[in-house]
Amino acid sequence: MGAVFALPSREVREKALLIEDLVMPARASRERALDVAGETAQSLVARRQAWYQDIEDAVLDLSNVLPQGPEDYDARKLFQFLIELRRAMASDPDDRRGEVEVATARLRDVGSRIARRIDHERLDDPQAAVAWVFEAMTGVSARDTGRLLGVSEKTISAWRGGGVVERNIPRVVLVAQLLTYLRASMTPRGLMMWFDAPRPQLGDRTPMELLNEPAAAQEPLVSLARGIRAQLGS
Amino acid sequence: MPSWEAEPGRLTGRWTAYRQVAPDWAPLYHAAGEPYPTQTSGRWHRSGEGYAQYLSLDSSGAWAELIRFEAIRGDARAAEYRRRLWALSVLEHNIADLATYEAYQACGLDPRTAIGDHATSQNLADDLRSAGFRGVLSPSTALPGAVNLTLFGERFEKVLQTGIDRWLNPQPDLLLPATLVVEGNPPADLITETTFVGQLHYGYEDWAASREHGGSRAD
Repeated sequence: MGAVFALPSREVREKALLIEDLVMPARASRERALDVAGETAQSLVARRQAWYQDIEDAVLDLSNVLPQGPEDYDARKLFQFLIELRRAMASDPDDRRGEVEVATARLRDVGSRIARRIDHERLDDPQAAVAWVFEAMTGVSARDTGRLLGVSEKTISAWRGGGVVERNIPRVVLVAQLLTYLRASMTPRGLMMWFDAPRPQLGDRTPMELLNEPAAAQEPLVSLARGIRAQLGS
Repeated sequence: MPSWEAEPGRLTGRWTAYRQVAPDWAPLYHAAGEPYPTQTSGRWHRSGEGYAQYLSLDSSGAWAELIRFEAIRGDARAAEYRRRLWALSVLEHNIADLATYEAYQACGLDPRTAIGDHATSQNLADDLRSAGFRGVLSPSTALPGAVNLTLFGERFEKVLQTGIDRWLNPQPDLLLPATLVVEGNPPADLITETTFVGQLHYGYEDWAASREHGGSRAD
């Protein structure tokens, strides 16, 4: 985990997101479309080949900057799904069997997972974590942000001004990690309400109450926050 | 030995189903190439033991799942959520018909399994998968009267602007056409209709009472 953080994580993340972008459904469909008006058969083949080549180059680029290079677990998965994509495109150009669709989705999954991994590792740094919290909680008062991080309004003001985070580091890092799961599903005000709402999964305690013991809170709060990403049967 | 006395009915058909997810999350749960499955546990699967696609046969059922899971008790909190509600066309076979409490009873299963603790349902899911079922229809715990469709295993979405029921699906076992219905927050009206953890499930209670009184309550 630490090894990745020592690398230029922004570069790794951008390369992972490039793969994700190349295989996003709209782009993937457009790039391999077979019925573009006015397009010759030759340009069609060239366009599809260029798209595949871009993906292959992006996968190679990313694998070169991952800590274990092509031996990285996710890099190996990318190569595996890249081969699946190439074979599907060759054997079924108009994707009647849907295999190109599935291969691109699999590549997208791995690219997203690498980007998320980099995000989480970056947030182990308390300065990055507090900056992320401030960004996610835009518009929330210093009083509430202080309550969330367990520090005074004065400390929040100092941190906002670039002060070094030396207090409550485990709590700051945990809150930042939780926000990576929650942020897309609610407004900053809603995020504050999430931390203040009693939850049956926590024995009717609030996430805020658990934050006083960050080490013990890590597992139940991360599990709760991850659960919001997609519908579960209750 | 499966937990039932009589095997549940096996359904083949096409269903339109709904599912709500975070706006930055795919309509269906897939995590290709994960070293081990990390989907959070739900009623019909345990984390680490594969994937399940949790769907509802109506949109209210999907929203009620969010309201119950998140314990959203007031309008103000509901208004702060941002979710995507997707409609999906499911073309499936070997779906276990446990859509009603009667169906549970007919199989020799305790109807409270549908709304009780997850461990019992997860054990039943093991039996269903072993018997070759690909999913299950079961009453919703979150919204009395609603029915949930859960598909076992990984699925991928084919996002379409329209026509999910007309798309010729080349791999219905793996691909599901999906279309975005809305990006928004759960309807506040639904909060009073949702069964929260620890509350009596009036759908089940009414059914059980009607059995006790020989059906007179339903008349």
